[in-house]
Amino acid sequence: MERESKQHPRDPVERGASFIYDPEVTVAEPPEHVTAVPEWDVSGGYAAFLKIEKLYAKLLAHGLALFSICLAVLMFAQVVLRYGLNSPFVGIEEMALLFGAWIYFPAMAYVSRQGEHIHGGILTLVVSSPKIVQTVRLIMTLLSIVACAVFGYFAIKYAFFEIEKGRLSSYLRWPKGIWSFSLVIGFAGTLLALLMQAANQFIDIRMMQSKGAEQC
Amino acid sequence: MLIFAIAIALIVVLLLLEMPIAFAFGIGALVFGIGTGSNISFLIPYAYQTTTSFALLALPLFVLAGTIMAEGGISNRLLDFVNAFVGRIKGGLGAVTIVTCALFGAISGSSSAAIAAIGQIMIPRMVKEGYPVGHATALVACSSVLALMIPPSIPMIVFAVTGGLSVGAAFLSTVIPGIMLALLYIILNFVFLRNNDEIQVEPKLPMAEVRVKIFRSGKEAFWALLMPLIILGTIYGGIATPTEAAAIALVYAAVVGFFIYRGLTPASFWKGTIQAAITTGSIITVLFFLFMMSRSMVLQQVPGQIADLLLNLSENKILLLLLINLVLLLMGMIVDDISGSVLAAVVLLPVVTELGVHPIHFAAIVGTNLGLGNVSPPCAPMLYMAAGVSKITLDRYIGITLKFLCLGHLPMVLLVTFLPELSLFLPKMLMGIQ
Repeated sequence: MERESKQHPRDPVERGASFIYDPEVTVAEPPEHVTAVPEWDVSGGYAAFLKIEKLYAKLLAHGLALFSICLAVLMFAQVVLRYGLNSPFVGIEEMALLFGAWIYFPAMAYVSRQGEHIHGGILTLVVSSPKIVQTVRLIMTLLSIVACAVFGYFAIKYAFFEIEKGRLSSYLRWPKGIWSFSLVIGFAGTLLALLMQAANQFIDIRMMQSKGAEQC
Repeated sequence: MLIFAIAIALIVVLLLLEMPIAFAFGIGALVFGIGTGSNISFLIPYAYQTTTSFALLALPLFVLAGTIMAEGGISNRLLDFVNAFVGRIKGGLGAVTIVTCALFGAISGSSSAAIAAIGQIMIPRMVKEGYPVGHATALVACSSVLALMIPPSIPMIVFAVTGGLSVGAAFLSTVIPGIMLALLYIILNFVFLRNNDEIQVEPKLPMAEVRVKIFRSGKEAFWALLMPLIILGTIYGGIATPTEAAAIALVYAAVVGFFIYRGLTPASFWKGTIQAAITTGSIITVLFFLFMMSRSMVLQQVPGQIADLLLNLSENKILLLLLINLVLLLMGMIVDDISGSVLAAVVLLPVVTELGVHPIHFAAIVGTNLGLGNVSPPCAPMLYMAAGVSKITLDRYIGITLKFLCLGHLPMVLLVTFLPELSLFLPKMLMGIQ
């Protein structure tokens, strides 16, 4: 894996300053976050799998954009119907919630794939070794997988319960399973992304080890 | 209560170790559920139904509207407009940054978007004009928090939905504190820079030229400035609910971006929509897991026990409010503003209600405190994000940031806490809140 080194003086940002020498960056550069999609070249079966996964991610992203636009159009139509024509159609609100659910949970899967979850922490402030940082991150990913697997199991069970019961929505009389199936897509996708991330973090640690051995 | 304390301690450790906030709360809910022997399968339907509530639909729509407006190219127009007023005063560029962050917040509702849009332009510009880079970084980070206080504020939507309050009233509660904080930052900016001879100031222009400049930039920024008025006007004019107002704002943003500013193309619109979905997804994931955690806490009557514990500590309302502020500040330092809003609504709202604090007043206390937490180390996401733009190390901006926080934000927190009228005046006047 080739990454651009940041171990060099950076461009001046202050007037009159030549270069800023940043001891923090020079001594210990925190490793990049490894996500579900590896930044290094892969080959064989993993490369083929990543190609398929890329297609799925593209579908997910475009689906999210489409559902977001549908939600906006529906809500605006509701405004026009309610306040312009004085004839609100309550079914629109149900449909809006359908699009809402199909944005929220598939977006959760996409966010996991892109490594865009909100997080804070002081790990890189207190730990200087990139290998330890990456190992801790791997442990955090594994714990995330546990949380996601347990609640994902119950979420998927709940979604299928709604589907099997054949419950209908109040106004449109559509099967409620259409709404709750978004949970299945969301949790399954999130789990897949986290598993891929854990695998990539593991590979990254191994690469750090071999790189360290080579330098020795 | 012991298991709750263990779960919270575990969550804090996981958060400090950079675990995504959503999953840290997931692990916490799991540990708490197993520890108390509760059936965790009940948590999913509750979290699902709360997340897919109609009121919360305002969230993806406001996020999308803000993203589309930003893609359409409002940042420079807003900056030029504010700069036309104060650009020729020493420290004026700092004031421009603060006011533009507040205005940007009124459009996007997101502090990270404010840093990305305003910080990228203003930090290099301030540095070029002689501002110390640490000062510029701290100013952008502290001002970005104004986006959380000026409506539409995403944390306020979440707080109101979780606490069963009016979203419109919660929005209004932080308006006056937000404006006052912006003014306070402007004053501090001038004070801190008064003896700095490095700062270059634009040459003074004749009044007629200034007027022309203000008119021209105002004409350019007019459509962007109209958006907050549309949002607030439709909500408080009784024309639309916040969710519907968000849809109106979105359509408006698209029309302005495509046909007036012409900064939006079908490709950038599509890209912005995907980006907005990512932002929504990251917030919703946190909310989903937090709702589960909060439900399990409610089922075990934890909020009631915390209320009893705090109320038994002292009967002095001032002391208890200070304690609650401290808890909120610590909460804001560790978790993000969204999580903080949910936790505050679930855990602390019953306590302050017992104390006789109006829930809408508490919304303002929460909004102001969590904003402070967002720029307070160790976990200060907005501060680090601004530093990411200026590419400097912590030691160069931490001192000036703490000065801004201690002399600006902290006094504001206390004012909001002990002067309820600051946050209740507008909700009472415009919404008839009693």
